Amino acid sequence: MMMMAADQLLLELIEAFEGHRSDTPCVADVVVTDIALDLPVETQIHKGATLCLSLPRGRLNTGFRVPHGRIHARLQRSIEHDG
Amino acid sequence: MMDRSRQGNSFRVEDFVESLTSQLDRAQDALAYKARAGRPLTFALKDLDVDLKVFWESDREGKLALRHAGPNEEGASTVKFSFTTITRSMAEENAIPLGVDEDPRDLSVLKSEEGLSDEDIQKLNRVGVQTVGQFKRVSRSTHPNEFENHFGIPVNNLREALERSSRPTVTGHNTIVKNGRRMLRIYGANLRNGVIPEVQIAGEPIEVLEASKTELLVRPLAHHTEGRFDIFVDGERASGFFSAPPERPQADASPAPSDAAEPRYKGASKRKEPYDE
Repeated sequence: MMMMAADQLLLELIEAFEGHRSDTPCVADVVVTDIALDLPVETQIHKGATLCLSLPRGRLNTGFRVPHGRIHARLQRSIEHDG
Repeated sequence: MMDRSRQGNSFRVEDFVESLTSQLDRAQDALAYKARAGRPLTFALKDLDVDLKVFWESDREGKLALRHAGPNEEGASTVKFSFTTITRSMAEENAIPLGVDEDPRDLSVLKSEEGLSDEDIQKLNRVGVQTVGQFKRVSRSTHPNEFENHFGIPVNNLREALERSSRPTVTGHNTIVKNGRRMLRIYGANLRNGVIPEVQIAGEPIEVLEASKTELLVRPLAHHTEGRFDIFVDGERASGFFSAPPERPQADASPAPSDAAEPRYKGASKRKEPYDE
């Protein structure tokens, strides 16, 4: 996984949880409404003070350990009624 | 505080916070656009905490700067940023509406030695000034000295950038055929300033049917099938090149139920237009 801008990684994470939706018609559908993410992340501050993140990629080839930051994100789904 | 300074890798705290806020604003806009695109069950980012492992440094002016901790560096500080509640409805409310900007060109078109530098553009982007139109709007309501104090952009460079932003520019064009008559719709910026501009193809004046700051509708003469067009606004000239099929002879020109247009974009414009007139 490459380092990417923080907003991009957040959007990728949100996108990952949006895939699931039941195709079977039913009277009441159960959906996930809240997701709490608590992830260790590799962090770098790039040119222009842009925060770039990556999910942990393990040790470097040299055996050095990259210090991990952390993000805690709470995602909430707003349900719209079909009417 | 570390005295082992790594100049170039550290950033002022205020710059970092502005940059991170701007990144989250972009995420907010992206979520709002997804919701508008018809995805009713999208997630919204409600709360976000970011913990960073950093070292503290101070620059020559004594201002605190952050540097992210490198591999195997011990003793890094943990800085925790908390952001809260960006709901979908708030995201929609606060997103910049598409299509209302008087000049949607990217700020990079104002980049020059005497105008804006990359760094100036980044500073403006961080406070939400992304387009030339927004730059003009902020400049109109801010005194040049205030601009210099806040953004560090010298007054002369600001003047040059504003002058550049007000020059007529062509970003693209369409050829439109209506009732057998061939017309040219030209897109750009500053294409009108009070009076209808003069438009020429290969040095010959042509009729201007509609004119606004961002669009012109002109009618080439029958023998104009390709070549350079020039638009004159307040003594300044903007040019572009076009090529179009020749006008149909009058005998063949029957009213078509749906008129065709052939988009021929040049430059940076990505605008899509309904081609039926």
